[in-house]
Parts: sequence; C-alpha cells; structure tokens
Amino acid sequence: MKKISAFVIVSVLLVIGIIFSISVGSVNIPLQDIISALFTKETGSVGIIRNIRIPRVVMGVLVGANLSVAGVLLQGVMRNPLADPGITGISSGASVVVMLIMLYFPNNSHMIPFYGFLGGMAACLMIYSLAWKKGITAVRIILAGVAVNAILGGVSSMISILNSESLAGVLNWMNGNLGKKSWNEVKVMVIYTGVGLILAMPLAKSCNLLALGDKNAKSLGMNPNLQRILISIVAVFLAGVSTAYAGVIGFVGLVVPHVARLLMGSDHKILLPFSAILGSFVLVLADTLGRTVTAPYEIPVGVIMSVLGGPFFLYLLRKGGDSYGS
Amino acid sequence: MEAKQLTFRYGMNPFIQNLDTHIEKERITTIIGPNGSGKSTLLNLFVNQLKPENGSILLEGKELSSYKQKKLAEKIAIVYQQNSAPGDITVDRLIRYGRTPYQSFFSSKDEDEEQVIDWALSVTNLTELQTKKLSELSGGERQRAWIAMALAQKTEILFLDEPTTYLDIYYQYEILNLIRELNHNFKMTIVMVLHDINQALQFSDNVIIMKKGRIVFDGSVREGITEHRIEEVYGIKSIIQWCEQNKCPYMIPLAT
Repeated sequence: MKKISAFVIVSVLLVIGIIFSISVGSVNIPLQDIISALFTKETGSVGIIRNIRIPRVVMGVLVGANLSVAGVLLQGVMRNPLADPGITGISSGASVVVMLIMLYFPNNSHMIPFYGFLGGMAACLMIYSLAWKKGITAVRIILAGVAVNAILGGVSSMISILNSESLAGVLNWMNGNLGKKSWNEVKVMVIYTGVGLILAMPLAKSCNLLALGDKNAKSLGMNPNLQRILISIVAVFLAGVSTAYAGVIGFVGLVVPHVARLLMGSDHKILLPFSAILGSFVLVLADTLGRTVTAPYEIPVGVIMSVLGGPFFLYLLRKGGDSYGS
Repeated sequence: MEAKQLTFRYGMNPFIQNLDTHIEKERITTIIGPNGSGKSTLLNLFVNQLKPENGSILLEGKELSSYKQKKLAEKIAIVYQQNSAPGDITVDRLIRYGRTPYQSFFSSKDEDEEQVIDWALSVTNLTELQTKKLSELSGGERQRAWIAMALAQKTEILFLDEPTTYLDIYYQYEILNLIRELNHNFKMTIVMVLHDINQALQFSDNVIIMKKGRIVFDGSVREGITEHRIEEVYGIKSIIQWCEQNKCPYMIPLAT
C-alpha cells in the first residue's frame, strides 16, 4: 500500500511539475492557454508553448526517465551504488562520438541518438577492460570510470574548442541542455526511449538475481555474464541516446535510483518503473529551476544537476557506498 | 554423480590431477581436508561453478557441461558459505527466488510454487519469520533462509560449502540437524564441505578426505577417519574414542 501511494504521489508531482514548467518562464502562461495549445496551431503565447516549452518539457521527461533507469541498471550490473552514466564516462563517450558526427556528417539527425549509443558502448568497453582483473570490483569500476570520463571529457572539450565556429552552441549542449528542441527531435526521442524502456523492464528479474551474487545467480540457473552484458547494453543505450540530444547530464542516474531504493526497496520490478517517473520529475524540475532562478540568464540543466547532485555523491561516498546489498 | 579423471588448474600448475570419485545417492558425503587441500575446489567443480580442464563429471550418466544451466538448477542446488543480498529482502521473497529455474521468461509463477514454498518454510522452521527482512535475522536464521531457497529448487542433490562456518555452536548443530533431517525424511543426497572432523564423524555416511588436491580416502566415514590418517593429513596426533551417548566415535587432538 505504501508503495502504491508513493507511485501515485510521484506521478501527481510529475504532472504538476510538467504544468508548472510549461507555464513559467520569460512569459508566464495561464493554464487554459496550455490546454488550447495542445489542440490548436496559433501563434503568440500559444505558439511559445507549442513550439518551445512543450517539446522542452517532453524532452526532459524522456531524458530524465532514461538516465534514471540507466542508473538503476548500471548499479545493478556493477553491484555498486555509485555507478551512473555520467560518472562512469558513458555519457562522455556518447558526446564525443555525437560531436564528431555533427561535425563531419551533419545531415542525418535522426540517427544521432544511435551514434550516441555507439559512443557510450565504446566508453563502456573501455571501462570494463580497464577495471577487469579476475572479475570486477566496485572500487575499480569507479576509478576506471573517472579516468575514462576525464579522458573523454578532455577530448570533447578539445573538439569543441577547435571547431567553435562550425559547432555553434555546442558548449551549452555539452553541459546538458534541454532547450531548443524541435518536435522532430522529440518524436525521434520518443521512439528511442520507448524501445529502451521496453527492453529494460524484463531485465528486472536478472537484476534481482544478480543482487544475490554471481554464484547464487548461477546456481539458480542464470548465466550472470550474459545477463550482465544484456543489462549493460540496454543501460548504455538509454544513456547514450539521451546524451545525443540533451548533452551530458550527470547525477540524475545517481540521485534518483538512490532515493527510489530508499522509498521502494530493492525489488527491480518496482524500482525500474518508479525510477523512470521520479527521474522525469527531477529533471523537469531541475530544468525549470535553471530557466527561472537566474532569469533572464539560463543555466543548463546539466549544471544544475552537478551543483545539486555533486554533494549528494559525496554524501553517498561518506556513507561507505554500501547501501547496495550487504 | 561421479567424477572421472578430473584435472583442474589455478594458473600454471595442475591443482587437481586425474581425480576419480563418486557420490553415493541418498547419503551424506562430507569433504574434509586442511586449508588449501582442494575441498572447496572439488565442490565447485561438482556444481559447475568451475570448469574442469580435463576429465568429466557425470550427473545421471550425462556430462555435467551438457546440461543447460537452468536445467541443472532443477537437479542440484548449492548453499554457499557467505552470501550477500539487499537487506530489505524478506525471507519469503528470498525463498521464492529458488523457484527461478521453473519460471519461464514471461510468467513469474509456477504451479507448484505455493506448495513448495510452504514446505521449504516449514522444514527450515522459518514459517513464523517469513515476513521478516533478512537484515533483521540472526546469522543462523539467515543461513536457514539460504538453505530454504536452495530447497525451493526441489533438487535431489544439495551441496553445502562450509554451512556452519561463522555460526556459534548452537546454530552449527541446528543447521547440521536440519541437514540430517533433509537426508532422512526427504531422501536428499547431501554433499558438504566441513572443517570440523567431529561434525563430519557425527553427521556423514561417507567422507572424501583431501590433501594437496588429491583424495587420500574415499569411503565410509568411520573407516576413513583414523588416528593414523589424521596425523597423515593434518599433521597432528589425536585419539579417537567411542561416545556412548552419541553412538558415534569422536576425535580429540593431543597437545604436543
């Protein structure tokens, strides 16, 4: 019962967050205009809503869900509460590849999320091979991730500086930005997100078994290494496609799964869908904060998440990082 | 189950070489030996956690490696010495994981589930604790919960890797009595690794005594554990006497 009400509360919060985010900004828009914007094609404030704010909020909902679910999956696979697409360098990998594609093949934008996925995979392989030493330990994964993240982050800074004329606005994108998204991009993202989340949900069972340790998972008839690879691929897919459109947004995949685990326990069948909803809410809220707190200046949502999420990461480190398992 | 010409190596040097043994059905077989003698390695080879480099392990006449892991999980279950799980898992949920081999990809319940879970709970005396979280249990209760999970797999053979280590003597005997019950009442074949020679004497039919990756003795426990062999394998002098109350021999190490 407690769990059902948590679902309901977070869903209601998400809806309120969405409406609030659509209505506030440089022009404040009343509720009835929002509703009419959904069904008409007018210009003026209705046009602002329809073509600027709604795509932005929808993007926030999708990306927030993706990153959070990716975080839950990565933490399950690595048996490590500190794993997240940003910290492990998966997002940086995606951003490097996406930048290169935008530079040299700028004309296939609907494929960009897929390239993000490939970049994330490359980073993920780097991390695993660096961390591998007769199996994988939690600490080594994080250390390898920090190293990979630093290298790839440096590479993407280099690319963006060297090409600052041809890649306008890339700095904003690199810091994680949900603004200036077209309906087309949103539609593409809906498809990628749908595929990713549908693939993620059946993995709940494997995540639950992996939490009992590899030996027990195997003796219950599962192939832990195969499942690890499958879960990793889906996690990288979700994080990679999100990074491709929204840039590097850290800490969502860290904070949201942790809070979700505190509220809902460790059963991934509940944890995965709940984290998706909570993640959407957190990202929409963070983006709205970034747009409004320092108006007329806009702080990229990635920066907001770093400022809020960084201290949270330190808190988890201090706690000993043992909230997963034991 | 039997092992034929088993060879296994850690790194370069063969650790177990040309080992032959068989596990008698519906009996309790205990593997003993000093640290590093290969007893856990042998157990892990039997349960397919480690792959032999050469030789074969046969289960019901078929090569172990020819079984699908899921099918194997319906035939043999293992309880490990140290387990970790998220602390908020309830006893009931942990035991239900034991039904995993019987579940298909899409349905998460099988026909016999409720009946088997009730049985596993009552055998391990956990019925009253089934809604408790693992983190709220004592060490002995937690070990019983892991045994119950293995029982829910409904296998004929149960392997246990040092099931009594880390428990105080009360819980040690509680677990050992439970294991004996499983063998007597439900005709389960038991294979376990133990450190304590007296517990091996008291609770097993057969013993496999190992030293440096070789089997020193394989057969009836009372023939196997002798003063001479204890000295040969462990390098300590001891006397073995008869305990009338237990109707069982016991070993006392001698101070030198």
